[in-house]
Amino acid sequence: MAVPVYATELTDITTDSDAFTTVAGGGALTTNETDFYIQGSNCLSKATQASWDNNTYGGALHDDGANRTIPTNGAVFAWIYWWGPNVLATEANGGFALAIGNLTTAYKTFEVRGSDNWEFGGWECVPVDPNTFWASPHRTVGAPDGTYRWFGAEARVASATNIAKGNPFGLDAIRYGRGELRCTDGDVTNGYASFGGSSPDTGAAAWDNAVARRYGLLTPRNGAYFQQGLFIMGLAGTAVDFRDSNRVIFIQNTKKVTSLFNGFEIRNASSRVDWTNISVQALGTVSRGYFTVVDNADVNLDTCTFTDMDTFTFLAATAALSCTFRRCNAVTATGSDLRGSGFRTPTVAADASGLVWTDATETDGLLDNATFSKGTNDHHAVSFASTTTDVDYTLRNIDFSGFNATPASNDSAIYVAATTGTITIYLIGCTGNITAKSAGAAVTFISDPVTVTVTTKDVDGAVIGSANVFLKAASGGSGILPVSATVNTITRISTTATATHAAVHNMSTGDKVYIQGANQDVYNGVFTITVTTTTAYTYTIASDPGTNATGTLTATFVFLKDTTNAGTGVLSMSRVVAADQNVIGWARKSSNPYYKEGIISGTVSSSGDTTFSPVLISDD
Amino acid sequence: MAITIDWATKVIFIPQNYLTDLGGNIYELNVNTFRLDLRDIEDNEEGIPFQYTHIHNTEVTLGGLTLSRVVEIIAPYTVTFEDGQYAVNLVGANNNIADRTNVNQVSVRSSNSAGMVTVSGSGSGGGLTAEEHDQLMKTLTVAKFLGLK
Repeated sequence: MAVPVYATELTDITTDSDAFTTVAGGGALTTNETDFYIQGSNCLSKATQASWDNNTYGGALHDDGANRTIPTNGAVFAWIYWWGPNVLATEANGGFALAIGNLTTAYKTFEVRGSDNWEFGGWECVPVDPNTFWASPHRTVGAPDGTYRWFGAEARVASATNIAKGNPFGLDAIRYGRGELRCTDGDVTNGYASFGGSSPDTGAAAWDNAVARRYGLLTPRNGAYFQQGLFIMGLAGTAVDFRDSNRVIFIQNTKKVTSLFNGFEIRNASSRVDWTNISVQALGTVSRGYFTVVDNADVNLDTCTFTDMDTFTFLAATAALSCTFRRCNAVTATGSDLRGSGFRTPTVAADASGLVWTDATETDGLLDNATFSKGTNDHHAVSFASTTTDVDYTLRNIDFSGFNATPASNDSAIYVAATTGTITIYLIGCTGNITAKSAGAAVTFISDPVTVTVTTKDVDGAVIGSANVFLKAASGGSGILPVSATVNTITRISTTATATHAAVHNMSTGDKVYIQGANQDVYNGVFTITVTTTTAYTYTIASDPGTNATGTLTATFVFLKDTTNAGTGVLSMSRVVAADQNVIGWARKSSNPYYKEGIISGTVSSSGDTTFSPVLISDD
Repeated sequence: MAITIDWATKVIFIPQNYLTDLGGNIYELNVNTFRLDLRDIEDNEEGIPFQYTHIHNTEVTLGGLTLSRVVEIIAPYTVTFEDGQYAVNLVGANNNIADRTNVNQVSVRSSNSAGMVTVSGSGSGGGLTAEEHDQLMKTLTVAKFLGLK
């Protein structure tokens, strides 16, 4: 890539030395005010006047020469100024408002500031979306026809006495558009795109805040950044390499815009975005700021904190590690890596979910060590939104706080969208109330796997390495894994065999099964399976025998079939065992020195690890 | 060619060229080598799930007397020699191979002993030295004196 490029699509309405027309009350206008401009080299100011008091309005409008169209989720952005905030009316009473209309005698005003929230006065860049708020202005002057050609502002002085001197009213650049701040390019040689960059500040904020332009989309203040509009990292035609860390960003309290006005988007699958220890906090509630990965870019969010924001949409190449989503709306993830992240008191609606896991991707290794706490509404922690049936999910070391212990509640920790079949959820080291509500599928929770270990030893207790071990489920006891279970059919398509049991097999993808009884020997043996339903699974056979299996077919679950470690003599596996399972097996070693078979027999515990130490006697 | 096992039928197949040709259509099967090859099959990828094929008790030396190695093919395994008009001498261990052999044209000739097959010693050919002979006679005399026969 190249040197980072920043741009916007905002269109100027007025910047320097443009004509304004005074409206309502107030004093004379100075269209080339050079004393206190914020953008370019001058601004508009308006003088005080003796009659500008007792809730009278005073303002100015600029004719842009033609009607303007404000895009969806866009706004008119105006730099406004007032240096005597105490005399203004409150915001609700129209203290300071943008004015938009078709004539100086036909316009509407939309309140944006007042004495109650503009304590220090000074310059502010405020957005107003007239499309959305046309029907609810602060006031209407004349009979505006709904077109936008004249743009300006009004101040309403509430106090009984006016400001005695000077020009308390200012207007500088006015623009309109979606409010996009676009970041593209950047690399290690030319510097990455960033919010702030290093000193001298070369990041997006420095570009946006240059006196020559002052778009007001990312404004640095006191070490933090104030964002509004749409912050875009990467464009369809140009990727970005955006990397930044240790920033504090406030999403401005923009009230006269749509809910989708503020946001962050990542576009172009070739983009890379790394945020480390970035804190983003929304200050308002109208447009809280959404975060969307539009294209499956390489996104790495590390120890970031998002507070009071709107929705998040992550894709498979997104990693949000040890991030905190505090009082945010739903996080939607498609196979994203969210390990260690906290989803705290989300603001989702009742029966909705703080985290929406959109596809059937196994969550093991992606949601590990996450934390969920319930917000005000009765909502779920995680929704498995895929309607794919008979899927397994694994939740590892996850804490669920505040959720309902009663299944099928609006605030059960888990929601399953599948309507049929069985969804199996493995819980490993999870804490808190974990129940599920389902759209119809059966939900099976299996808590905590156990480890089965075999250590081969000789009569003196010395370990024997490289011994071959076979350990299978045995009948008796309370075990539910198949032991010589009847297999109704084994069919095949090419070298993929599908075994269908007469009953539920209770096995999972990746398990091993010992098939016996097929007249076609290729079907017999120990195979690793892919579960397709609760009674069926597939496995790969060495060759296509040209016919489906015949014979008296049986299947037995296999815990271990492998070779012990050459040095330690240990072979182990971990699996959730729903019920204590009897097992039988053996360890053999035929290469020099030879050993007789050592028998393994006992029960694999469902609640703890199980170790077998078969003794092999020399057979030389 | 190596021996094979049909795991479905549990038949251990011994090809003719696995045997040592003694001439005159007489062949020899070294049972000790045979059982080691069975062990190799038992713990390979294909054989590990199946029951072991035989019981082996190695040679045991007791008071200078060596009891023979014993190899017992266990049910349901059977042995089939590659068919043909030849005879096989089973050597190297007492065994039940003849009992577990599927009958065909091959003549299986077992040479099992009663157990004590070797008298070990320092003399050439495995015979007793004069000292060992004297010691054995003394032991037998004492045993007879004590009524132990």
